Amino acid sequence: MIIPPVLIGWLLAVMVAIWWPRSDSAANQARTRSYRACQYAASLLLPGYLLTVFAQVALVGWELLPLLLPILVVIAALALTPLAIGMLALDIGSRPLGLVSAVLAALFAAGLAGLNALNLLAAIADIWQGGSLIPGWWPFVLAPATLLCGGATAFILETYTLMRWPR
Amino acid sequence: MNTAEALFAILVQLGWVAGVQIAIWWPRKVERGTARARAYRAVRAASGCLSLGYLLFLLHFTVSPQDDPSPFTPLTFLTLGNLLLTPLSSLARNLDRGKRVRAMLSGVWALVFAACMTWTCVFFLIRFLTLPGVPRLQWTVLVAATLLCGAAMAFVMEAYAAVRQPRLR
Repeated sequence: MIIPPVLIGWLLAVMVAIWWPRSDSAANQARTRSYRACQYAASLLLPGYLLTVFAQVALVGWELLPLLLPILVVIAALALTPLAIGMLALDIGSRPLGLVSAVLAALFAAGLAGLNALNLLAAIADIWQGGSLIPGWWPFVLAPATLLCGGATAFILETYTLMRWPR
Repeated sequence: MNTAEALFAILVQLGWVAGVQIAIWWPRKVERGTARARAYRAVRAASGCLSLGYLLFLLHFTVSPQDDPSPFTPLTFLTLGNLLLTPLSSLARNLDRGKRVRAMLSGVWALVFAACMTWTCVFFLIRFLTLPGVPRLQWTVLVAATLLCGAAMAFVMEAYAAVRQPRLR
């Protein structure tokens, strides 16, 4: 199945909003640090999500990828959208919007970290019991995915802190 | 499992419950308006919201009773509830001892647990959309549980932000 252009446009807009280069302001260092933390969070969340998708799709079978691709793109765009809104909120100086978007971003990043951690525990338990339900390489993909999503969660918390009490 | 082992398991479980609750709700003598006081207050609010959200989530099961519940079900639910609250108690305890980095790590951990609970409620809500004739009460209870878990997330973030303050007194 072909990915609809609207989805590609959405994802591109989100990426541009996050990684568009902003000028460093010496007068407002908190905002500069917030931008950087938000960009770090997105940079960790994206590979974490891609590793999660790789592990899940490899388990269900690669022949389903064309069917799943639009859904996976929607989820990626959904996960990154709160971070993009957070960046835009910083641009326009809207603190409440920034705080709400940080909570939503944390919901996605922490949820993904939790999902990966649960899958990792299930994979380890399966290997421990000598089962053959889950392939042996799964934990080696899920462990970095969990760490990346956990790191993204920490950076989102950092962004929230900088928005809440700028210093 | 024999009787002695079962008793030991129940005692450990009760000790865990008491330890977690005391660590969160124990009244601390902190100057009002400081970052530390805000952190304790946010931890308590997060714990209250998360406990209530979790209880409402469990309540929605009882509204439509499952067939053949296992005798281990209450123990499992108690363990899960304790697991949810443990990072918050760890945050409060590390704050007592002045271990800021550990308190921050507990904050991240607590946020992951609260987010997992929120997503579980959201997925159950999505499942309800596909089922015909779900009672209105069950919907209401689950929506309330989702909102409470979301609020718990926000309070955990607030606690983290207070702990992260450079002038934590």
